[in-house]
Amino acid sequence: MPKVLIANRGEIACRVIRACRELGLGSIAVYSDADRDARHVWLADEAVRLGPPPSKDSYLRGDLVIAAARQTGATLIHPGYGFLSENHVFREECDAAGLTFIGPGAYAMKQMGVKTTARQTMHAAGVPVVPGSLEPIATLAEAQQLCDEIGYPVMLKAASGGGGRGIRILHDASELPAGFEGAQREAAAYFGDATVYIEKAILNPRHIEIQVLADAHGNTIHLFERECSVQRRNQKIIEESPAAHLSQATRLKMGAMAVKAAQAVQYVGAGTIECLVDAHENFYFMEMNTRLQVEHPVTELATGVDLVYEQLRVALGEKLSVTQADIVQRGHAIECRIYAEDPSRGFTPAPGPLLVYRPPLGPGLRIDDGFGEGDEIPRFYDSMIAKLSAWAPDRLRAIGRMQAALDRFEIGGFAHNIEHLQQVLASESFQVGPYDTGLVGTLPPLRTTPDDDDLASAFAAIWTHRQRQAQRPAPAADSESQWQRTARTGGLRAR
Amino acid sequence: MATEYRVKRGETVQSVTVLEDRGETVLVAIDGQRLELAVHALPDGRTAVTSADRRVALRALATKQGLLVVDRHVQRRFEVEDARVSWLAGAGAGKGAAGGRVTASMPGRVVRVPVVLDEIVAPGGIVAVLEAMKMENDVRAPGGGKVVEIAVKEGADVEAGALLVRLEPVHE
Repeated sequence: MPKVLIANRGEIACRVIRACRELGLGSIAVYSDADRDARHVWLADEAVRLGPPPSKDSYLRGDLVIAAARQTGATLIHPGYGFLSENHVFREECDAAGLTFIGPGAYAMKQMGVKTTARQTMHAAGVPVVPGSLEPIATLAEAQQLCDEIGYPVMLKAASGGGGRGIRILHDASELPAGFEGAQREAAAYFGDATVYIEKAILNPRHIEIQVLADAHGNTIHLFERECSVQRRNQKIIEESPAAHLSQATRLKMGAMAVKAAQAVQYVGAGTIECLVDAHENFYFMEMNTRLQVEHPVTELATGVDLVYEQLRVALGEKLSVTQADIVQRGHAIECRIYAEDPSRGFTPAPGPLLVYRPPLGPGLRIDDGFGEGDEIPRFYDSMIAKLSAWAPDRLRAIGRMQAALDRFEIGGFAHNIEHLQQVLASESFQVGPYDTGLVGTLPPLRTTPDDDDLASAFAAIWTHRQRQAQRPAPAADSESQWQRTARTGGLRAR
Repeated sequence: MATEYRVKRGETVQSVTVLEDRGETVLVAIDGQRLELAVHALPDGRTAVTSADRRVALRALATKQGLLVVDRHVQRRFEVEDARVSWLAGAGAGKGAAGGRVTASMPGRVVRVPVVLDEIVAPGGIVAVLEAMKMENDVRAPGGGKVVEIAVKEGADVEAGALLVRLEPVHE
């Protein structure tokens, strides 16, 4: 059977390895020195070391990944999300090495990967885009001129960015010089490309995206929407499918638009068209993610389609196993991302050991994770630990199921965002909907220090008391009788 | 024999006296209030603690930052001291206060140190930028002051708690 090399780590590597195993495909993991003992390494059939912990020396080293594939005889490469997944140069290197990259062709990646090109291509294909630059912005002077033209607030975005990284909102001209320099530096550091572009910031839009699937036989379908408007630091934390409120007419229009956008770049594989939606359900193309998304489980739960299975089928040259007519939304699915971060300190990452980690299980629940209890969360990579998803016949029951599941999540030893997720889920804005990307900002500051609990304080004292009793000097050594000593030393000699 | 403990959590200090430990039941006094608790170990490593009106299953973990007590996803960090010992230590309290030390709140790489020696930093001013998990995070000096020491270089990797910059109060 063909072998698939998974050029990623964490939960998504584990997700793909499991799918390979289900299909009877071989799986090869790769890892950095920080991940030597990580879950994905031991889940796969084989594993190859890439290099030192920093991503640029390991998971971003396309040459090492290709060498690992050659070494192990892997013929397919699944890039997961992040890292090399949207790097068209890597895609071309795979082609040259005779390896099947699981994803769209280099043309689609180039068209969509550089956000400025994507905007031009979509504009030309008749897909609505957000007002702003159709070209990259190279100098501060250019940036100043354009910002003055379209008016503040504006968004500075990394042309090669994605996943909420490398985005800055500037409220007035005074913030531009520092913001422009910072955006370029971050873009260069994280995406290897300092190019940035500018869009008018549509403040507090809804963020709704459409999942698409296409095979190499000319079939392109959409799997309806995911609402991803619950964000902090421009990063999604809760996603749901279907959206909280969206008219059926808009849903179908967005689906048709997404299929058209994918076809415009001859898309093959799984992809996502991200849109901004305003209060009147006007929608604008924001970007296409030419890869599997973090939040793909909600679509899988709501439609019953296994997206990774379809990706693997398509990569093996087969047709999609489903047609557009097969796709219906059934019930409601919600995903919560569990992060090692401190919500009371501006969501600063809090890497550390997972001293306690026992996720909830039960009907309608799904956990996607890449760590286990005792694992260290390395500080070199993303701070997401796990994704917890809940499915139920309707939205309110799905929320209730998620709340109950989060409540019994056993987790500790580092700061995490479970109380923050609970705060969002319990908020009236989320419960009633529709809500927008401003939702998290409207919530009162979260008090992460729990109230005093006499039982916990008493237990702390009792535990300490018992530790001390146990450590009391044991009976002195000379209490050992001559008989015991002889028996002990004699026993040693006998070995 | 009864032993009194000072149980500290953040700013709050409780007195907990273990009056009698009979194994499955423990008699304690919390700030003078007597309480009888049923205490027994669960197979998964947690400890069930039951009072007259409530029960919880807690997990205790000794960490460098004190005793961590985890109740599902709620965690409380305690420092527990023998009351007699903490009374003695109390005499020396107040010395060696952190003062103007700005330390790294998490492990990471120093991206930038935007201050120079002798610079006066306003309260809340940025003294360093740390990168961890692909994020740049500003490190601020809450009280402000004059920079008297810069302990790190740009590009250096630091551990949580590492000294970044030391400030002295500015007298007017």
